[in-house]
Formats: sequence, C-alpha cells, structure tokens
Amino acid sequence: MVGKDRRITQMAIDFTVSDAAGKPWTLSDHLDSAVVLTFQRGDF
Amino acid sequence: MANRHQELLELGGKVFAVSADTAPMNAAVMEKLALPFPILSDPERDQVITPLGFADDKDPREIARPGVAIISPDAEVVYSFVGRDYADRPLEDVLVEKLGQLGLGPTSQPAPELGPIEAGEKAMPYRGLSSYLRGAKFAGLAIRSRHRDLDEDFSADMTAYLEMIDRYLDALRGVEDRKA
Repeated sequence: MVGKDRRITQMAIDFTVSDAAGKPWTLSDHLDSAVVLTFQRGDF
Repeated sequence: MANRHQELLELGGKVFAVSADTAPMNAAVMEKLALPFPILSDPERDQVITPLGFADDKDPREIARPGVAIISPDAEVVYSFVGRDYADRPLEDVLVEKLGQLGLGPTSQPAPELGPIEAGEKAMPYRGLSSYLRGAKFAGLAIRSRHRDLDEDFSADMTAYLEMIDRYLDALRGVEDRKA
C-alpha cells in the first residue's frame, strides 16, 4: 500500500559518482561490506 | 537513518546517501544535518539513480525519487524500495531486518569528508525544519481526521505518512545530539 516495496534480483553494475568533497567514489571500492544507498530528492 | 547508523554498521551495512545535486550542495545538507555518512552526487542520474530505478521522470527538476537500495558484498541488489514522495520511505526496522538476513559481521565507516559548501537557493535553514515538519504533521492529522470514516486505505496511508513525519522530527533531535 505504501510506496513500492519490490523484491528484485539484480546485480548492481559498478558505478562512479562524486563524494561531498568532489572526489570519485566507486561502488566496488566499498563492497567489503553491504552498501545501503538512501536516495534523496535533493536539498531542502 | 542517521539515528540508526551505528546499528546498521553493526549489521555490516555502510550507509551512503545519493542525490542528483552537486557535491557542494550535498556538502551543505551534510553540514546542516551533521550527517555521519556522505551524500554522493549523480548529477546526470546516469551512474546509479537511473540504473537502479530511482529516477523521477515526472518532476521537471530531474531529481531522484526517495527510497533505499541495499547491495550485498556480492554486488547483488538484495532490497529496493522506491518511494512516491519525501515521506514514503522504508522504516529503518525493515533495513535492519534485511541486513540481518545477510549474516554479515560488523563494519565501520569513517566520518565523511566535506569539500566546498554551497546550499541551494531554496534550501531551508536548519532552524526552520522543525516548524516545517510540525506544520506538515498537523495538516496530515486534519486531513486524516476528515477521511477516517470514509476511506480506510487513505486513512492508513495518512497514518504511515504521519509516522514518517514523527521519525523526521526524531531525526532532528538526533542532529542536535550530533552537533552538541
């Protein structure tokens, strides 16, 4: 009822974005653990 | 999520926020909320926002939809929740459960680094957030009250919305603790 709680099987393609210091951040550098990505609409 | 960051680390999950804003705008939000984890910048939405299904193609600002994805150490997306609006997010209890199912040991995450800070033009000052959320809460209470006996689904949805607002208000108290 609330939102869209999907059960999916998907492999995450490696990606590179920028951290808050403008430095590159690559997913595969951080998979020594699980990675919880929380998506934000933007500043508020 | 910031209030339960340590709990997620104990379950083997490092936390990273993602937005389509620039790094300086993300740094401004991190400073405003004293976040213990970084906000990553995907301004073209082509690195992770769109590939994982979080692009908001209805909003002309070309932003991300709110939600959460959990990626296992094997690079599998083991959980995904794409929200409808800012208050439509999974409860942290769900994330704790999902991480627990992975059976990982504890991990750690360094304090995030901030570069130049540049708040967006419409960014709300920290001191206005509490009033903003309380206003949203009381509007929601009024609307739910009007529809309580008319539409059970709508009332349940409003209850979930109000519970999320309360969590945001709790999160603000966490900000005060981190800034102290």
